[in-house]
Amino acid sequence: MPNTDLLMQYLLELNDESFFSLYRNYRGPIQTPYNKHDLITELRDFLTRPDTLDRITAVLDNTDRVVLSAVDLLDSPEEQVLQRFLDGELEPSALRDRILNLKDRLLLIEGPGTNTLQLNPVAAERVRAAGLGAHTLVAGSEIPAHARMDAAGPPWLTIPFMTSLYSFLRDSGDLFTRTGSIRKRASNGLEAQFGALLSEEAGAVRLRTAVVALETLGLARREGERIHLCPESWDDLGSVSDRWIQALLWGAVLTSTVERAFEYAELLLEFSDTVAPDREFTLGELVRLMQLTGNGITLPIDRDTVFRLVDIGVLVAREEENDPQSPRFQLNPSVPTITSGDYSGSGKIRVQANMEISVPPGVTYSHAHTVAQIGELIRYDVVPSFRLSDASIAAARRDGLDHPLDRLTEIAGELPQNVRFLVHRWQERAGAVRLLRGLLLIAGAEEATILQGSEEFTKLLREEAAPGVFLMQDEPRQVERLLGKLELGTATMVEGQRPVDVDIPEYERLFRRYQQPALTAGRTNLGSGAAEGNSGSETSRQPVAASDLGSAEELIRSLKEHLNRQNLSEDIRQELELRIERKLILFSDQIRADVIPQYGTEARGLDYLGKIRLIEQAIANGDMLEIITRSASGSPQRVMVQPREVVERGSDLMLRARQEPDHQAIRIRIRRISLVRRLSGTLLRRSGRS
Amino acid sequence: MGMPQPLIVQGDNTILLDVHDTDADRARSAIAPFTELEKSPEHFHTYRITPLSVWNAASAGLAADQVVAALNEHSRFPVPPHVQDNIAELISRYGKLRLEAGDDEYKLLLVVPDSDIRAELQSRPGIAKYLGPHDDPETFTINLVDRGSVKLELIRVGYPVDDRAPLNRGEDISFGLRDTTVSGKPFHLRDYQTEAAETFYGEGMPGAGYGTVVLPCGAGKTVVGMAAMDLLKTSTLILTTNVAAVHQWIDELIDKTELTEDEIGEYTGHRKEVKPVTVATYQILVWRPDKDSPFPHFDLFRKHQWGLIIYDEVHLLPAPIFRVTAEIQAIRRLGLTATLIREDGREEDVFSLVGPKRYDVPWKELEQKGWIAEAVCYEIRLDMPRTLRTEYAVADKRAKFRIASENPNKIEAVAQIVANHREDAIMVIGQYLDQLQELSERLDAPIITGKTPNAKREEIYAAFRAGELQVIVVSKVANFAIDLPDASVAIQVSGSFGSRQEEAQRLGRILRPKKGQRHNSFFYTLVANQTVEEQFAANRQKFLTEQGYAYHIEHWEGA
Repeated sequence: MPNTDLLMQYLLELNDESFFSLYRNYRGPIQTPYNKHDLITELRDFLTRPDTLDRITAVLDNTDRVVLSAVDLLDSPEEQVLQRFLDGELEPSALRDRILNLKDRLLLIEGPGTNTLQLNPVAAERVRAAGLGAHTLVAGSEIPAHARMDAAGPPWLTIPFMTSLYSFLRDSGDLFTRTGSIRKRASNGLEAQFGALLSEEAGAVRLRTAVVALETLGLARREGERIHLCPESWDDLGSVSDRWIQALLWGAVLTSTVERAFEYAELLLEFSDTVAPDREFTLGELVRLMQLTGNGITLPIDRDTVFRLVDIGVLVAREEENDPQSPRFQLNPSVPTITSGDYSGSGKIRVQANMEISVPPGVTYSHAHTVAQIGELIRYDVVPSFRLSDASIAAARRDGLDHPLDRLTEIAGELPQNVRFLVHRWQERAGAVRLLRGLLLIAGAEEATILQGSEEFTKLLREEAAPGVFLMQDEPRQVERLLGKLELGTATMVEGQRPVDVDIPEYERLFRRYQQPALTAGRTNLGSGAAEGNSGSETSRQPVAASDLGSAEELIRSLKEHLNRQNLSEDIRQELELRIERKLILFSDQIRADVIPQYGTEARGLDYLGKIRLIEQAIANGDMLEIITRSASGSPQRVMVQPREVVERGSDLMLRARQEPDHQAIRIRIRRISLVRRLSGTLLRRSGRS
Repeated sequence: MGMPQPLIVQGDNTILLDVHDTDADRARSAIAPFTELEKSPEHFHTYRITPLSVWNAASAGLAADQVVAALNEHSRFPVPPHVQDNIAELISRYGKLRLEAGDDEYKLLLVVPDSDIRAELQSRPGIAKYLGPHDDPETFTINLVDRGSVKLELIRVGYPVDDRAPLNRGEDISFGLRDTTVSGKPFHLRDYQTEAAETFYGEGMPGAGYGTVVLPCGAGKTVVGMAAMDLLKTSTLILTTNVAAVHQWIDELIDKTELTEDEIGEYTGHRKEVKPVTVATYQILVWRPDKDSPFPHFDLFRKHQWGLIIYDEVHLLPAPIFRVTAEIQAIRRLGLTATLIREDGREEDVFSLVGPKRYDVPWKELEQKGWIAEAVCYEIRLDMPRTLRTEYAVADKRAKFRIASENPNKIEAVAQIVANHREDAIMVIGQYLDQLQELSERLDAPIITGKTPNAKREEIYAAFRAGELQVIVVSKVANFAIDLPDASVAIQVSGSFGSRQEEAQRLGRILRPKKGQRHNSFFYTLVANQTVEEQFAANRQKFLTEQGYAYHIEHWEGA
């Protein structure tokens, strides 16, 4: 549909009240009799005039550009999507207000879907040329030299941390008291083994974060006061690449399902690959940047996402001394190294004669996990250290590692003689008396012979405890299937009840899903690309020029001067002034009393019911209120508010509102209001369409 | 990532030194001034940054950025930010308080320019009681005898004091080191011994003249003490662990210095001589008639105008001597030890009163140069006889230890080890007399116990030194400061194994280099399998491997 037709269709579908309000604002009072189609055509002609478009674009401010760019980039988004996209930039109420304003200014119109938005097609090209584009949304800025974040240290939720925590939880899983706080004993252990990282209040928060992440990934489950590890899940996780395991850990902090953790992992990997390391971002920019990265737009990403990533150190926040309210965020400089695993020269796993094992950064998940299984954690640090002991070897066997010595030799190379001797001795001893949970298969002599001839049986067999007594892998269904296949017994099924275990997530299947070219090379470097202004086809990608702002201010100032020269009542003058400020008035001939609706706009003095009615009307229409109250000394206090609701407070009513311009929440006792004045500032009613 | 580097700076203020890195020596030298060596197993040596070690570095003129730069230069991974902050914070505290000569010889001045720190000190009762007024509002007066106590308290609250007050000169004595010993052997100081003595002496400048030298057993700490005496040429009080050690010191002084017998006194339970150089035991100093009486022999510290006190085996310094040491801070003090470990955890007190570590050298370096013997530790595992296994299993804890210790299979195992070392001087050490007696008979070797008279002991030691005896059997009495220069094999058959000091001392017995022989020494320990002895063995293994000794475990299959 041609651009003008789209606009005309939109205007036609507006309810009459809104349409006439728009028309009156831009074209003056409506002469009767009228033809609505003619009025629409006239309004369209007005809007397509070059001088009108000049003025519309001249008064665009940065917030306008951000909202319009987002609408343009997201291609007719739902308002809710837009709100999430701009989280961190605008409070929902401010965004709602701005959308209404942009509709009033005919820069935005209803989009094709329900509750969607689009740029006014008539003005779109000019508006785009006036500075819209991805750079206004995600440009960021270069990190000042004094604020380089190398000193921040790497993120703490990493594979080495996670595997160290495995060892700790295995030996001290009794973490919590009945009230949910961390046990004193566990707390002491955490402080000794993890230092400041997991001590004090901040440490307790980190521990909970880590435990929740493990639960999300199916690696642990909490039962009352105790955390139970799920060793099989840890083993199965080895089928995922290290890079992904690392990202999964971070993703698990943002969600409660393993499937969604994979989605976040994909996003975070792409984000760390593409974001420019030398740039920092505002909260809003970062939220948008993440949404525009990879699959980000399909994920719930908001300011909470950012703060959670800050909590685990993936992002680093920096506050400027002169602007502490607007922190800047950057990707932790260590993240690319961690996700790439590029630790060349960091060393290898070392087993020393004093029975200590050191695990330098860069060691694979599989190896680090093996060390955590075989050893007991001495201390988690830059290089975590573990100690071999008879207890740790026994624990490794309990976790299903049947030959710790072989496995240790495999990952660490030749072991010191005394270590080899003792580990061998300990694993033998741990095997001398065992308590096993598993599946026992008892077969007669003939059946046993048949079973032993089956390759599949051999795979499922752990050991033959005695002639005809087989300890099988804990896979009852597979064993049952095998017995059925070999036609042994009659519908042989496991006797007794199987203990309820946690389901192991299907890591491998989920991982395979992401092995397709999701991370192909050549993706846009959003952080830097946007900043360089080369990410799109827009001819003008520059931020608002000072001269533009100058002309906007000049226009508003001249309009206000013109307003002040008019002989108007105070309420009309205020309404018109508000319209100028909200950029609904572009030409001086729009400044006239007869375009303001003739309904009650003011209540004062003892007119208590009048005040309540006015407030309720303002709430219904989204109008603002000017309120004057008297202080104890009798001096008047004037505030502009966006009213929210009227609530009962004893025998009186109370107005809950947000005070402009900083949106601060306030409450005002209606009985104390000496004057309330309704200021519309908007032309469209809440439901714009008829 | 950059090129590999030898250091890994951990968040708990420890530093791992990868000894296989080509740059390890340089890195070690760089961090030595501000760290303490904690352990040195075969791959990673662990150093620790402590407040005391950092303040020692600050007292030597090292600035925070130099310390951090040294770490950054050699660090494999980024140095944790809080470690850098910690170093900067610690160093910034040094020098805020100065101790200077007082208005008279019994007083010192504590200068504290910072008014907040002054207020804090005055608000702490543990320190305020020592602080007297002075005309200068930034200065407190303190009594000379409180010098050590004040320094100790200030360190405890995190304000190390820059001690600029002069040290006593002592009474001059004239002597030198011999080029040829009285026994006719050429004698000269080894490089590291000279270096250690000179580092301690510090050219007589303020801030030097007190501290500890850490050297492995057999590296010649006594000689370092003599070298320090030679530099100062002042009246010297030497404190050591027992009478045998006193005699050894006196013999060494006569053998290697120009001091005569008339100039050297013995102050022990047997004799009470005070001469320009006096050697005393810690025991006699801390002896008192009953636990409420004062220590009568503490006067020894004040009786003479000492210019130097040497604390041999300073890690064993008895707690009561802390107090008197705190009072004699105007006297130069040299601590000698092989280990900084104290079982009571009071290392900090010892080293803040006697003085910080001034010098150490890795034993491996000395071993490579042949100055000490290369020691190999063997743990021999023996099964319990079947007949004893049930008895052991049902016994109480104390009885278990004894049953395991006296595992009869040990006798045969010791005999086999002795047979394998036909050329070596062998010392068999144990705890239980019955067992030792049996061994003595089985090996046809003399036994030394607590009941053996001193004269008899000396006789046996002399025969052992002379090579007339190949094997001796000794009880726990052999643990400390008995010089057995030719022992090259130690076999430990029983004992608590709990004390790291004991282990160090026992090992020290075999580390002295052997004349014209291969340098290897052997330290065997016999451990009953699947008994409590394994736990003690684990402690010993940890200690020895962390000292860097090769450690092997073998199973004894029987004769």
